[in-house]
Amino acid sequence: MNTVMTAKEPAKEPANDLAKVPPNEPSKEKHGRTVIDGAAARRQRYEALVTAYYNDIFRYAYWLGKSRQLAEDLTQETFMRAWRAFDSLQSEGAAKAWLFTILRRENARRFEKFQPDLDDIEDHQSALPDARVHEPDQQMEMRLLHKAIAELEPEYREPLILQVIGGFSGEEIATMLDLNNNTVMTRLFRARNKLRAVLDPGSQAQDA
Amino acid sequence: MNRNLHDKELDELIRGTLLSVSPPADLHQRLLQLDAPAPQPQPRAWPASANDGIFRRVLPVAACLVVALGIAFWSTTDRQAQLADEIFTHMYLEGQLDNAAADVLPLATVNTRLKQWTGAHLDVADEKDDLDVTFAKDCWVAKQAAFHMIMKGESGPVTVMMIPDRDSIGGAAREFNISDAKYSGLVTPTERGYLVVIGNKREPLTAYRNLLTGRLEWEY
Repeated sequence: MNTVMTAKEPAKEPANDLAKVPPNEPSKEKHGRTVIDGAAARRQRYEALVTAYYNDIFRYAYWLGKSRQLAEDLTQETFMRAWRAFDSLQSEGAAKAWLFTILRRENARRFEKFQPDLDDIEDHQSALPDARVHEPDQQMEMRLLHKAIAELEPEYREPLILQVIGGFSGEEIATMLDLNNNTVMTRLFRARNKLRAVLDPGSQAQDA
Repeated sequence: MNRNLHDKELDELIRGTLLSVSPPADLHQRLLQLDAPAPQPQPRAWPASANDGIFRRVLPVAACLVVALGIAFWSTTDRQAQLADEIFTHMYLEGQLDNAAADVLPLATVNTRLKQWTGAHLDVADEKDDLDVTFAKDCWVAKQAAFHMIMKGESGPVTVMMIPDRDSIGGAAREFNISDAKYSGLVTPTERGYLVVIGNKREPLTAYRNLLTGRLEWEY
């Protein structure tokens, strides 16, 4: 989470900085000092990871399961597993894809337990754009789009949210979803066309 | 609804909708509590009984009312923190975080776009030191349309956002600082909303804030 300070408070260096914290190294000393420092550094790196990615992880979880409660559970479980397996993360550059992959696995486990897809109508309402800050037409489009995204088939919705929320390239998405790149690009194209057709029924968008 | 929807416009709407979902305010703190027992996803009764529905609705509302009385003081800070999250998220998504080689936009172009979206323009009458703006377009941040500029700073890109509605995002009357691991920012209330200036931690943000607030002229 980003820090907020009032202007009169002295600026302080945020504790959470994934880039500045050295990766964990095996202890080379027999005395406790190095071990303790390693544990502290590990925790600092974890906190930086949480701060950097928890928003996106929550959003990804929400759009996968379409429920705020489920998104909270999945986000917490994802970071708990990340913490337990933290030493396996070798590179900060890979952290985001790693977290998204953990979350996908957690979501898949949900289906293994025969839990049906959740679709909280209240969630849709709470996530709708604020009526005070949007023109009526814009509100209408946001409402339509929110519903349309939620109703997209998972094969179209997931590449779209990985691209927009995760910022992943087509190739990265293909790797994560175990698809080939052309399939991903086709699904992205079709997902947009489906959403366009909702907002602009006269567009007669053509599938690839 | 039937209108010609451009690709970029559609992408902005999709992005705005997908990012309009924010986590609960306390989730970040909960995720950092490693000493607490591992969170157990709550099993959901399926289908829920009628009583479950009542408790699910009434208890959170009652709890919220009680908590709201106690933490009124903190609510503004929470909203500022949420705003900070949304600003940084948008900044990272928009990209152009290395604009050293990017072309500088003519100030007339910047002003045309700025005026269209905010009703303001940057004063050029006395030809003060020019701002090297490499990106200027409307954007979607904090659940509303805003304006986003990126300038060349002394040691990296400087992001500027103009968010028009103060009330909807906390209504802070005082300037406040935001930061993440890499960047710092100033959120300054102006007569028409917030001016946000973000740069890496070596950038003289106050100087940019002064330069911008001194040159912004509101036309309507």
